[in-house]
Amino acid sequence: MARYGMMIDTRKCVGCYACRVSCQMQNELPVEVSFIKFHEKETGVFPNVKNEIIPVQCQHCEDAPCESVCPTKATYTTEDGIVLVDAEKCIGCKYCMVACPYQARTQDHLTGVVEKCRFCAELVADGKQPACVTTCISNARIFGDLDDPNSEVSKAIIKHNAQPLRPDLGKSKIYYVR
Amino acid sequence: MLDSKISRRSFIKASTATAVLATAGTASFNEWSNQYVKASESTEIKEIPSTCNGCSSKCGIIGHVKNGRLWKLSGHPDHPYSKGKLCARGHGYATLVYSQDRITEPLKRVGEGKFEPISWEQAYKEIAERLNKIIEEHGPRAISLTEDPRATGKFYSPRFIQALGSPNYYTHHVVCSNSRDAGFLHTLGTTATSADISSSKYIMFIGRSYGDAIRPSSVQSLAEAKDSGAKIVIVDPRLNNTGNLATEWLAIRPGTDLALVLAMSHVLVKENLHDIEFLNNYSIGFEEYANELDKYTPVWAEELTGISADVITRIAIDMGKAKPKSLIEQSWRGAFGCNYENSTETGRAVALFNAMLGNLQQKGGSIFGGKPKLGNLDSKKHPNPQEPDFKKAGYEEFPLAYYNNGVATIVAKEAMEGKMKAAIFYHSNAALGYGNPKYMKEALSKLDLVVAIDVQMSETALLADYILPDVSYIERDELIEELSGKTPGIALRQKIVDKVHPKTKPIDVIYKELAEACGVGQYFNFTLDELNEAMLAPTGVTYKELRKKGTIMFPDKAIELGVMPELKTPSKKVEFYSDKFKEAGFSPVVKWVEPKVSPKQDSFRLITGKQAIHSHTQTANIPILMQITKDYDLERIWMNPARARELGIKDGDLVEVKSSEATSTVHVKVTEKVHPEAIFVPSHYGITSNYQKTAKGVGFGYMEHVPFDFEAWSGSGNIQEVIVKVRKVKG
Amino acid sequence: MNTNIDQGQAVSQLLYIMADLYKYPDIEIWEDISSYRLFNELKVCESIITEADSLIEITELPKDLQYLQEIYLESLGGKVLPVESIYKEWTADRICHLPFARSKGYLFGDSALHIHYILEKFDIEIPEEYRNMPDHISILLELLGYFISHGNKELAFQFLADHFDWLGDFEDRLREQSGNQFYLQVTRYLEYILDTLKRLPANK
Repeated sequence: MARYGMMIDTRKCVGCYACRVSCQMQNELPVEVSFIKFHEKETGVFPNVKNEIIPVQCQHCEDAPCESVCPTKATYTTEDGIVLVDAEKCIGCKYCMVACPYQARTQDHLTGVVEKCRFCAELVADGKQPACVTTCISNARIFGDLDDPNSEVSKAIIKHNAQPLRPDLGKSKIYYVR
Repeated sequence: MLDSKISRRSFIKASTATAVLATAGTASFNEWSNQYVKASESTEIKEIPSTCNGCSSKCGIIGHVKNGRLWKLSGHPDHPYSKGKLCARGHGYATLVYSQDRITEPLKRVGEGKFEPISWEQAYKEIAERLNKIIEEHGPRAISLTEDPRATGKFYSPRFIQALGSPNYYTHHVVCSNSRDAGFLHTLGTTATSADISSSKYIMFIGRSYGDAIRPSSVQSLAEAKDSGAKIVIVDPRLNNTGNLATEWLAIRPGTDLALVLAMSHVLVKENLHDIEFLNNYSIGFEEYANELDKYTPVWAEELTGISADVITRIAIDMGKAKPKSLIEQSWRGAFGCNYENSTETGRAVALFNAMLGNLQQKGGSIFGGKPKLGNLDSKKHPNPQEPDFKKAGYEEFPLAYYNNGVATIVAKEAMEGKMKAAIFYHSNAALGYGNPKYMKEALSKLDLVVAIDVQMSETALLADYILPDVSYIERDELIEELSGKTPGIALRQKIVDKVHPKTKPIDVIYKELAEACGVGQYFNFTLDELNEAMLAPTGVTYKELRKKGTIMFPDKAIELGVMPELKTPSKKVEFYSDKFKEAGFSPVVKWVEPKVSPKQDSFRLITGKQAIHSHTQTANIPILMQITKDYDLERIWMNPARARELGIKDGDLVEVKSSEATSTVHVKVTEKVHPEAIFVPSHYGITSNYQKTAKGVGFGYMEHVPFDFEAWSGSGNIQEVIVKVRKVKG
Repeated sequence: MNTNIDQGQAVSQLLYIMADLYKYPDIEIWEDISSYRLFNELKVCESIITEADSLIEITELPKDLQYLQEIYLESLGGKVLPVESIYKEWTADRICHLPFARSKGYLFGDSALHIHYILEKFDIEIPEEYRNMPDHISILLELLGYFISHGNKELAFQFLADHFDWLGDFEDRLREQSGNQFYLQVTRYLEYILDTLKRLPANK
């Protein structure tokens, strides 16, 4: 049993969108649909400016709000801590989309099913890494077991004092270095 | 019974067996589809190593093929540029192979923007007749060939035009790195060094952005350097996407990079931080340069660049102390590839600054890469075309430009003057990208013959008399590609899937057949495979092995750091004083040169740059990439908030951008990330070709605003010597 | 389809003519079009298939061959390729990792693979150049015509149901292209004919 999570070092992210495209490919998403969204945060006044690019996807929250509002229990958390949607059970009511503090969910216009980042559960079950991690050209993403203190991700989170994006919004499993 | 009089041109051909078989019936599409999907898990997937064409890096890729179709792409783990990774363009551009916006058969122009299909034989015949007639009447000086070179083109294109007796071969570098190339060539004997980024302690980028013009391995090395504590300074009028990896941003006034480098060089000398031993051993003319540097104080540079004298001094001292593990990265276009009237001199000053740091061929410094030793065709069996006894057009005006690449826009200028009569463009959207499109269009219309060889209906193709359809890079074999670097190697682009459009042909075949039609087929009496075999001969690698591996590196041929090679300059040393420059009528030592134009209170300088998801204008029509542009409004221009306030412009407003050449409307991004004197516009948009359905109408074409011009030293396009005014159209 | 030989032949003949209309126009077909020979023959065929008079007519004749070739190139020759794959989801295979696996608009999709399968199964050849574009409408129409004229009703009907359901989208695309009245009308006529075939009593 693992508790999968990720660390994203935004100081290394150059906003190249390779993760978005490889995610779209892995999940066969239409070109208009993406599980990863990018927020740009500009601070300071010219010429002392800092720019931050923050890739945001499903944060795989503990006690996920999307899960608790789902009337059909279509959204569930696996034993490995990955939040998934059971397409068979989803009735497309969008409660979860409203409940998600990160607006990380999107609806398939053909089937009505709501989807989101799945930490590439099949790849992970196969011992591989999620597509966004393997393709990341600056190695800004690290994925692994948060419960294993010796995993690369756990060590990196401690080393860089990585924090959830919005600690006030609950406990999530993606940690950010900013 | 019907007695049909209608003529029939049947496509299908049934056999005698068909009639019998047809009585039996078959699986419906649904049934078949279900079976096929079920079978798909066990269907064999072939993995074919090749190279990407998403940008000029040509990273190694692996194409996964199932049922004869492209199925998936991944980065080639052995290729030094991809290192197993692929950027967004690499994934996205491959969709070109099944795109419906390709050129599918040879076309002949029959009116303004109107074409009719023509057979290959007829096209060859007519093109050959017209080429030969032009040569007969005006000499081979009047024909030319221009390309954005890829492996096969690099060999075949110059050979083709030379077979016709002309040296007029040109590349896209006129709007890429012509200035840098000229500056480096006459200083270090090579048009470009590379940089040992991951081991460097202090790295400065001038306009160059690893985060925007991506090669996965470069970004990784920079991230590594950062992890090991390197200082990374970006010098750019806009905070580009390498900003996240940088330790400092110098928001320089555009066009003044030369002043910064001169002042930093001044500080090195003043502080005695230059590598005197290196300069004594490996350079000439340093004293003259040092004398000239005397007047370029940090205070002087502060006035021009807007960067404080203290900052300039501090950085120069720190770089001097970190030497030889410090460097100014050599760039491609960056800020001095083809941007300003002073770009060649900036290129020279950058090369010289690196030499002053003694970083040449040092760990963490500038590197002269090693090349693999490849073979040639047997010239007895396959004679080389004779070298023409005159120089290519543009040489006289721009003798400092790197001769192999030439000054491509000279073709347009000479077309206007009636001296150039024919132009062939291969894999080149010169009409939109090389010079002012209005000028280019008029120039091309004056030519007796324009031929475009391309995969999609580019703006250049639309102006051509004949359009010859190339197969896409996923559907063709190419010439072996040399990989030079610390460790040399070779890579092969090979056919991943069979061609989709029946009447398209690979470029080597097009050149061979066109040469035959022109009566010079004897220079192409070999196949691509034979040529590749000949190139491989000295390496000990078999063609079969290369086909299987795709990329092969030669670690035993790696260059030795710390050993300075003999340079290919006239003195065989670093030239701080250049006789070549003197002969060409320029100052033999670098001096400050003013940019050609400067914005006033009410105007801006228009500057441009890349975005990570696009490559020139060639990826604009790829839906999965263009969608990112649309989702994040990436086609907008950038404007500094202080200037926006003065003009009553708010973020997201629609504005009009007006230059001496054109007027465009576009939305604006108001951001502190750009210098108040500059308007930044990404260089990938403004497609006007109706044939590119996804791209057309998004953003505006940067080059539309650039006056047609030549930088005096290298002939490059001066693409940032542009003044614009901006006014609000609506909120 | 129907068991009436004459009717079967008439249908095939009609489909073959339609197939020709979607190929790049040459002088011969232009002569057939401009002399109305082609449309007369279509009408004759049509009258053998159905008694109902079609309300759809091809009236927008181009003024000359050159103009016809021009509008062909403006539409069927590139911008609105009459190829089934483009109008359908590229593949139903859920383990394809191409960015457009589930998108429309790309060549050589599953429908093309199905045509390959049919061609192989029945030992039918197509021009080498169309190997990776076997679901071009001209080939589809000729195949349908062939199955009908060789009396395999079930096969023909199945083929008709499988491979012509994209014509509505194709028509929409043609309509978006200005100056394409001719091919728009040809296509609407084709849709009418195929619709009629589907409704023939023999198919019920």
